[in-house]
Amino acid sequence: MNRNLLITGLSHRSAPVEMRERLGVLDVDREGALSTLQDGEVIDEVAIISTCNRVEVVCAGNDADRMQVRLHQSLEQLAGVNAHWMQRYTRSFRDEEAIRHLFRVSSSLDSLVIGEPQILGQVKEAFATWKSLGGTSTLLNRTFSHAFRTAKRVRNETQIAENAVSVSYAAVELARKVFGELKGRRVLVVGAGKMGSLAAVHLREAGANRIDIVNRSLDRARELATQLDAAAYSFEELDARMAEADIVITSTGSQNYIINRDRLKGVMARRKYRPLFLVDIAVPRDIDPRCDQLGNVYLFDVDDLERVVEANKEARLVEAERAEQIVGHEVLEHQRWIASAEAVPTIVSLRQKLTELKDAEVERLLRSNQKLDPEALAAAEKLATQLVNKILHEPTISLREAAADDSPQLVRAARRLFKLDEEDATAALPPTKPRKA
Amino acid sequence: MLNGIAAAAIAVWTASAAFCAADLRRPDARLREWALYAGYLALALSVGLAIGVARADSPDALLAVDGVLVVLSVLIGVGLLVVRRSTSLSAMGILVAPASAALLGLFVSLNQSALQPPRHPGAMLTAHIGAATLGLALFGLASFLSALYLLQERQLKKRSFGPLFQRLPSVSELDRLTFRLTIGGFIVYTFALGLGILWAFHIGETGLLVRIYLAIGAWVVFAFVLQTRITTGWRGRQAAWLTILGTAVACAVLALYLVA
Repeated sequence: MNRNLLITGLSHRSAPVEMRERLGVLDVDREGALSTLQDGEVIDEVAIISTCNRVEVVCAGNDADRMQVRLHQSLEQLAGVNAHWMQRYTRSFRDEEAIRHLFRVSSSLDSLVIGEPQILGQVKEAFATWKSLGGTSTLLNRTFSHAFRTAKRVRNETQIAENAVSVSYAAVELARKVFGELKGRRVLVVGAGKMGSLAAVHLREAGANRIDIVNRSLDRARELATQLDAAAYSFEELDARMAEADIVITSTGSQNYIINRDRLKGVMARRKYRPLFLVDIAVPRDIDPRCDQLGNVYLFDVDDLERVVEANKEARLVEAERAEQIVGHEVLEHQRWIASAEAVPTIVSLRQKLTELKDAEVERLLRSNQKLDPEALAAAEKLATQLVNKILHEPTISLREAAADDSPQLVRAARRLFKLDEEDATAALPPTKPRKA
Repeated sequence: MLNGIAAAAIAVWTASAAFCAADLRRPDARLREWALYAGYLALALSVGLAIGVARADSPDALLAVDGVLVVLSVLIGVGLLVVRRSTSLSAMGILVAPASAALLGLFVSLNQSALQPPRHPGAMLTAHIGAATLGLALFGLASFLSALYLLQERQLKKRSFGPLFQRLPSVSELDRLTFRLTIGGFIVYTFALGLGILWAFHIGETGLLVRIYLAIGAWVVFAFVLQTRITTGWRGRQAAWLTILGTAVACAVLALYLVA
């Protein structure tokens, strides 16, 4: 009998946040949810992925239709919603589609921002939690592990997670295109705006080692400097600070340009024409756009940063196509494993039968030769065990391959040939581990 | 035989350039690997060709113009494999690999016997040709980096944030590498120029004057680039263009030997 996988839940694609909150209750009382969902009869393995963008129940059992009905009933009961609500907002994936969905989610292909790095950690954490609660066993353990391997492949073999997709990180990315390594670079924040300080924090995380803040109000500059572990300066020192800085971020509320072409020309001569990266995130702008015409000056405003983000999003979509191919390949591999696992009961029975035969023969040898040396007996038993292992090696591989290739004839032939107990064949996978109390 | 090796090296350099171009168009680690392996193979073939040229006649054969072309292709190939650690293999490879292939193509078209190496060259001429070849290789690499600098600077100024922008190294890294290679090239080239002038006066050959003036012209361009960089910090687009100009003038000296 086949083992089935089922995923039911909702995400940013199917339901607004206020609806997603309704199923969020599953992640609050996990043990209660587990005892309701994992009945040991229809659903025997359960894990719930709960993030700000999705709540999805991943489960395994032996009958997909019954699992679906049972799961819907349980979710209605746990979340206090009705069948109409479930039908409207939730989506379900079965078997191959369920594997594909889990692999895509883990690989960040189903995320709001494709390629975002957090989702893999969230899925790993969810799996670890539900595994520790006893919710998962062979099928889900292997499926989640394979999902994590797939996500790693996608990350290593594609550029899906590269390049910034937020405005503040876009500034970091552009700075890298001007300077390469940001280690040791000096950042000057002009103005005490939130966006400016956020970009400065990102730049420091990327390696910039010193932040200076210049503001019209020195008190406000000092306040922000304390928060950012930076140095505060008065507005009169702007030119001197610019001459030393590598990166300048402006976000003042000024209605006029505070840095014009002539002023910057003087600053560039003072700094011996070392490259200067300017990010003007103020509206209206703080820096005269003609400054960008100066050599070794790289000036970008908010619209430019948005353009970087858009270009990167497009690049990620192209990479997503490659990632989908990797996912498709891994889904096939995983399906092969599930199919090959159907030979497990036959292999277990075969091994058991041969082991029993071996034990009986060793016992007979012991009875017929009472005076047999214990060492000789141990050697004989070892020889018999090795023989059993060697005899079983090739058939085990062949049976697994036959099951994976969807050719049950060989499995049936083995059962007939060795007169194996037919009852064992009903369970496709090794028995589920007992649930923790 | 030698032409066969040269043709194989040209084919492999071309393949390496194609892998680099494909990687720039759509980044792929496998393409970069193939480009690198093709680069190693092409370089090995070029070294084999240089050894073949030396053994076919005498080591002095490498001092003939066609021999210099082979040595130059080896040197810029080695340079590519060295600078790839600090810059993008694909971005540099798309310039260096075709240049190496072109140098070898020129070698094949000269048909070896057309050019005779100098008889009894002596230490001074050997050192002059060796230093000039090395200097030219370093200037060549510097000018390739300058071209990449101009390209990346243009992407930044024009706000073209496409795949090429992503694959090219930062302007500062390109500028730093160009500066180092120019300094190295300048020192070696100064030595070569001094020896070349001394040798020309030694043999009293007035027909070399145009080449000497051109070589001095290239030297002056690089001296200006380095002097202004060191004293005032002058750098950027103009410096990159001057580096390319200086290299072109230095190449013109070699071209004059070819024409002669």
